Order: sequence, then structure tokens, then C-alpha cells
Amino acid sequence: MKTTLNNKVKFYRTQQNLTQAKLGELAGITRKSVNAIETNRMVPSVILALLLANVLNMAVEKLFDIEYTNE
Amino acid sequence: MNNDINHEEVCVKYCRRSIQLALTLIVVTGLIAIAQLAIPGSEMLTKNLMTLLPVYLVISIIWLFRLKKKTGILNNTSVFRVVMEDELRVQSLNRAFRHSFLCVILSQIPMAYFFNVTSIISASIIQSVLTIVLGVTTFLTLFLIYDR
Repeated sequence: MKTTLNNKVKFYRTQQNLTQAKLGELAGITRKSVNAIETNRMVPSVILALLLANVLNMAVEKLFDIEYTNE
Repeated sequence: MNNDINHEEVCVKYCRRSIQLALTLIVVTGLIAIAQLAIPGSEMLTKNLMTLLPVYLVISIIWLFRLKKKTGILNNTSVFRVVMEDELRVQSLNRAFRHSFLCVILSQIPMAYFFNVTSIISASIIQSVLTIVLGVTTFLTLFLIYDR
């Protein structure tokens, strides 16, 4: 069984009219990191995931979830 | 706010420029050293190139300092800290280190074979220099690629 991390950071960020740079600024990371997370190039640490959820004012499991696929 | 964002982007750019500069310097120095060791009769040329190296170094450092002063990074340590402690940067550093280490280890096999087959006098020294240059070059290049 293969697991993949899905994230809805972009969806909730745009919903709240935030730019990548602004979200990065609020979470204390660079715009590059936000972009890397949104495009699934980087898996954020627990601390960063919680920080992003905090900034976007929602539960972390709503922002990130695991998808199971059979191989 | 916009000013801060610009500062962050400028800081990232500045850091990348510094790494690119270091990479160029290491590649040039390494190639000169290898040429000096491997090619007989190249002492004069490599000596001349080595004398130009400090000039290049001084010019580059002045350029970097001017860039730093012009962009005002010196006065904005919080932005600098955010860029340095950025998670993507830390992850990229770790990935680049792991991969370059693997590359250096694996490169020993063809290098050892090559130096065993050929009859170069200072083979072990050349292999050492080549390993150092290859390791640092791979590390910095991979870091620049991963941390885009």
C-alpha cells in the first residue's frame, strides 16, 4: 500500500485572499517554501504544518491528508 | 509589507549569488590544481592563472559587499534569519549533502580503476584533489538545484 500526502494549502490560501508571500510572512517561512509545499515538492515538518494551519485558522487534518493507494 | 517581501527575495538572491561565486571559485581552483598535477609542462600557465585568482576573489567579495549594502540586508537581520532557517533550505541542504556524499563514494570506483590503468605518477594526490573538488561542486550544485 502506497501513501501520498495531499494538501489543500493553495485552495484555502486563495480562499482567504492571501498571496504565497503573505502566507510565508505570517508563518515565518519564505515564498519558495510555500510554493514547494503547494506543488508537493516538499513535505512540511509537523511544526510547519501546524503553523500553516494556525495561520489559515483551521485544523491541520483539513489542510493535509493522507491518501492510500493499492499497488 | 511589500518592502519586506522585496527584502526577502533580494536576500534569497544574494545568498544564491554567494553560493554561485563560491562554486565558480572552487571549480576554477580545482581545475587549476588538477591541471598542475596531471599535465606535465603546465606549471607556467597554472602559475599565471593562480596569480589572477586573488584578483578575482577580491573583485567578487567587493561586488558582494556592495550588493549587500545596496539592498540593505545588513540592517534587516530578521529577514536574513527567516531565509537562513527556512525549511525548504534546510531540507535542500540535507538532501544535497546526502546525494553528494553518495556521488563521492560511487565516484571512487571509476577513479580508482582509471588511476590504476593509467601510469600517472601522482595518482593518489590527483584522486584526493578530484574527490574534494567533485564533492564540494556536487554539493553546491545540488543545493542550488534543490533550493530553487
